[in-house]
Amino acid sequence: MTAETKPEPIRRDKELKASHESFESFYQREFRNVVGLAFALSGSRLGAEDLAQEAFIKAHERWDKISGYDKPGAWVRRVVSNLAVSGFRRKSAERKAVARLAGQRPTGIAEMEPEDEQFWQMVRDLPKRQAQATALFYIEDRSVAEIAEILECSPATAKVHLHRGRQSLASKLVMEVSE
Amino acid sequence: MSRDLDTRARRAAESLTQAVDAAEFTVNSPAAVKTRRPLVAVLRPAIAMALLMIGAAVGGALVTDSDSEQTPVPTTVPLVPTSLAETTPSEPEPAPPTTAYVPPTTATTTAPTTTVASDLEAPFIEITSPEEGAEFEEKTIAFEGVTEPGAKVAAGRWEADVDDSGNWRIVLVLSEGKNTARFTATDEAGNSSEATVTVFYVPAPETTTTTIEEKEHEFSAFATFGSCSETPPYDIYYGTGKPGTVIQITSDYGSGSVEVSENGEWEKKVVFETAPPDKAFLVKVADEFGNSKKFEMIYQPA
Repeated sequence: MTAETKPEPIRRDKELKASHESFESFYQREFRNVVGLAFALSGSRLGAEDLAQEAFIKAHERWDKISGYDKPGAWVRRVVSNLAVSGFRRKSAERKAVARLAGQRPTGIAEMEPEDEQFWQMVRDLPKRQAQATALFYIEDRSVAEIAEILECSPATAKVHLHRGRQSLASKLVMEVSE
Repeated sequence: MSRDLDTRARRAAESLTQAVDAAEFTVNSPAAVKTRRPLVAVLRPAIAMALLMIGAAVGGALVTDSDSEQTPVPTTVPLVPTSLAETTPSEPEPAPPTTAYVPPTTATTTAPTTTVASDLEAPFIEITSPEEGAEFEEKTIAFEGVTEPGAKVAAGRWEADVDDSGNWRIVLVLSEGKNTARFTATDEAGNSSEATVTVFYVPAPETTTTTIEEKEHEFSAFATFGSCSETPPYDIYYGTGKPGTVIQITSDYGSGSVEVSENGEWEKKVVFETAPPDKAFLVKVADEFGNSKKFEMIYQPA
């Protein structure tokens, strides 16, 4: 609660904080998590890092505003989720990563077990919103409310996306979904 | 192997997390990168060539100043989808402007922030709703999608609402039959890209006319600019509503009202006579039924 009267931001679920975290601290804390989300949704080992970096660059450009949000991490995840499911942006990120790593030892994200690779490919094959909700649910243990906040939709909508995503996965894997 | 999806999924998530944790990343924090946007990325090539001839030192000094100038707008004229009637079908389609000049939406006064490299890449734009080939019994449809944060999205002369994370939305009025909507995303550097979707408006039989009318006249509100450098500042608000009802637009620095026309559309220019410079304030748009929407407005004198 601020002491002075001034216009409040219109954005819902955004509250002004008395103190703003430094960008560097935020970046160091969140980068790997955001890369993981980018990789899950894009499937690009090399491009995931660039997709995450692009989201953080956008955040840095707007840090004066975003640092005042209650959950700046949600903003970055929203941006990278949208970037990662864009085929155009994914290919662009891969090209940048290849160019950046030219002559260097490829680092990227390590290979996983085939069945885990298959699982994430199935997530990526879901409709975009379902894929985003499912990835947030399983990778980051996000609640429906948190998923709704990140994807900027109503909790009811987030719940529908998550439910449909899980049902699709379950039917493909011939598994049961625990409610 | 457990037949429970959650068990399988969480194992896959743990595997992914371990793979990411083991990776060596090659990028640095954006806060540690300080480069300036090259001149050619900001100005047109002819002007850039002239400045290069004058000297790099002058060009370097001008980069800082040009960062605060308005970004050049794309020269291609936004295509107005001829099949998407933005007014009643009986009205002729408005002629496209002779120039592609988009009214200034921001007169940037914020200090240049740290950027990395020149932005020559077109922003991405995707349409998330509706799906290609969807059929509707309603004439007024909301199109939604995502684009790059900071980019603007427009369908012809109509600008979509874009939030700060790149989600965009715009309501358009369909013509009967096939409609192809073309959306253009333009970033701050003037790069643009397009996305299209084709939908069909198939009016329901007469017995459901009432329902269609009710849906046509749902409240919606949009702001055209969000900022203004003219004195006094103003913005143009528009949207849809129940014909004959009144839309109120209020703020601490100016207000207005307008009656919704017979076709369910309204538009109102509101002047903010007493708006203080460089201080954002809220503008509320509301109908008689308790529906409302708030917009941020800022007066940024040149």
